[in-house]
Amino acid sequence: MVATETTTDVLLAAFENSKASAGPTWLHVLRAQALDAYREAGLPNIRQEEWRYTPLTSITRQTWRVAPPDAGATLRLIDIARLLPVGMEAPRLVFVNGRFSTRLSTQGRLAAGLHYLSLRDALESKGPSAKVVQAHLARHAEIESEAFTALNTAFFEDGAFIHLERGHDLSQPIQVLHLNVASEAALSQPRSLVLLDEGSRAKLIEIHAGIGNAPRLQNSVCEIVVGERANLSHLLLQHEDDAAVQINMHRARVDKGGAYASRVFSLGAALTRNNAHCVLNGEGAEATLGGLFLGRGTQHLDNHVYLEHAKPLGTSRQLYRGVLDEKSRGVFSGKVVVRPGAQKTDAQQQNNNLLLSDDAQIDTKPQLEIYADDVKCSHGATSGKLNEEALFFLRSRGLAEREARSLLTYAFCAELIEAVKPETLRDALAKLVQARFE
Amino acid sequence: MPTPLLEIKDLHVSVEGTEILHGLSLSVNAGEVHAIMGPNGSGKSTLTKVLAGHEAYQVTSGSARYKGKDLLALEPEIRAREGLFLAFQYPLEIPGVSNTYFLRAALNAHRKHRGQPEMDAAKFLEVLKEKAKQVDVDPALLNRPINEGFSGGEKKRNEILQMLMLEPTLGLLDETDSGLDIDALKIVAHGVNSLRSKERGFVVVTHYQRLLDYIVPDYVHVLFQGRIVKSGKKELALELEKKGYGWIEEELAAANPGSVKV
Repeated sequence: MVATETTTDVLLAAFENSKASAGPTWLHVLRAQALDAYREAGLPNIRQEEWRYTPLTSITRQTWRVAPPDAGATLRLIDIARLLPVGMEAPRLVFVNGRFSTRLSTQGRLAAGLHYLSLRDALESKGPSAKVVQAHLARHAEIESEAFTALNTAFFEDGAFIHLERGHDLSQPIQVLHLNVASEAALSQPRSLVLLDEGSRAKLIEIHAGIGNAPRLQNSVCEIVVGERANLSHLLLQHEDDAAVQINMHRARVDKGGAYASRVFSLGAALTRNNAHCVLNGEGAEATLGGLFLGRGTQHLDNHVYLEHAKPLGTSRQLYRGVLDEKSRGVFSGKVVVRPGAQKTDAQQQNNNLLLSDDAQIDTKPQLEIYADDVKCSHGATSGKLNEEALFFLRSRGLAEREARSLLTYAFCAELIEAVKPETLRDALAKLVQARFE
Repeated sequence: MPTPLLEIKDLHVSVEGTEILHGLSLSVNAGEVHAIMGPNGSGKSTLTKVLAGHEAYQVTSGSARYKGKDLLALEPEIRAREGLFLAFQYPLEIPGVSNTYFLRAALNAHRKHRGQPEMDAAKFLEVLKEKAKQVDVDPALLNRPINEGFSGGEKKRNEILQMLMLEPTLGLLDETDSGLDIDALKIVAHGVNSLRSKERGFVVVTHYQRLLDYIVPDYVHVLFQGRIVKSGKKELALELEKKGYGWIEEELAAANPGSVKV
């Protein structure tokens, strides 16, 4: 663990020299607590149950620095246009190496009731946003139990702040792009807050992408609150490659009658660990969590989902699908917890995996913990190969074997893609996924 | 004599190490319809699957030539593009692959193989609608995944629709009549008959003579224990319908004692 000690020291030094170290006292206190928590815990390791299938050697084998301030300075709009699935029309916040880029962002004509800016700008603002940040930052994500969240809290520089006031309905999706660009191994730690007040509705598209061959480690934390009867549709597109290591924590709370839909499309990275943690915190709250993870080469894709029914009458649906080729490895761990008193909970969890090669591997662990007695819960996991009979059928109609395989592999993913709205986004995703199997 | 469309000689085929076809020979000329009848387990489906190129069916000896070429050396997709079509006995449901998308991809693969330009989406849909009408398939079904939520009869009609779209030179129909009511049977038969021409041949595998009232064969063969043991004209089907297969077993036993396991 020598390397990580070094990383912590380097980060601390870099942080003290950066503008991010400015800020209100409460934040200084919070960061100090977080750093203590991280030093106490250290990086997780495979002896811990939650990390059993995901060794962190791609993190520990080198020292990480924060990217120099000018990294990405030459990026042009055209470089990011191809990374935005709904294009340049929709408003976007762009973060380069975890730092807000005013130049590449466009907040558009802000809809009524929408606060859509960088977290640091929110903190420094004279308006109500600074107080809102204080009320929510690190109030949902835990620093004691999650070392990566602690590390992020101690050192984050910036991230997105999205706050939609009561009763407002955004017609247009909003985009947040986290772009990592560096000429040598660099760490970015974006930190975001997404807050939907009572009865509001929004669609958020979050994109993680990287440019260049230098190793990139992103450790992001995003805290989400979906207020009473509010509705958030959240799509996360991870457009990464073998130079990337991604550790992401999405921590959501859904209040009474609220609905949160999260779909994660991971197109591959050297290592991806997506933690989705969602608490249905009020009666009749709903969560639809899903993801598609596509691995090849020696990629390692890990989806850890924790879903808690804390109150009665909640509904949750989970569908995660993995497609693993070559020597890639997938992990799915999904835990549904139904608290005492969370009666009439209706929870379904499903994980299906398609192994395209004999060397690909999946570890899947769907779990239910139920402490209420009047609930409807189901879960299941499957893993298998392409259906040989379907393959023969398609070939017997004249499709080349390669094309037939590609069609069937895409078909395995189709359910998750078809559910995406709006159509432009769905079609963009369909193209990205299809291109992977051609 | 012109080259037969399909010429099978002494074909031996095994599935998972068990021999199912024990030296089957059959010759089909362009313009002919051959019916293959026989009891369960005689090897009828094995014959159609091996001709279409299913990998689980292994040819251990013998030959099959199609339009004079070694059929068995071709990949299944090349056989298809060369005009061979198998209508499956149990059409699969394939979630996530739309009928329309797949069929257009298939048709264009055939066209490319023949050096023809791709058919554009609008033209394709126009042709598809017209052919769907011919086999009474609701065009709305075609936007769905292949056979998903189709009734048994719809699945069979969908097979015939695919055949109408791909216009094969040699159609293999594997018990396409099973599970069909009389109206559906007539629709399917009409679809097949509309393709009959002097360039095309058909091998119709069936249990029942009933189908052959509507698709009238030129020849009827009895497949029994992996060989064709009797061939005749269409009247043979009527005789089988009346008398069952017992008399054929007896005839065989008499002609060749010890050769038939009863």
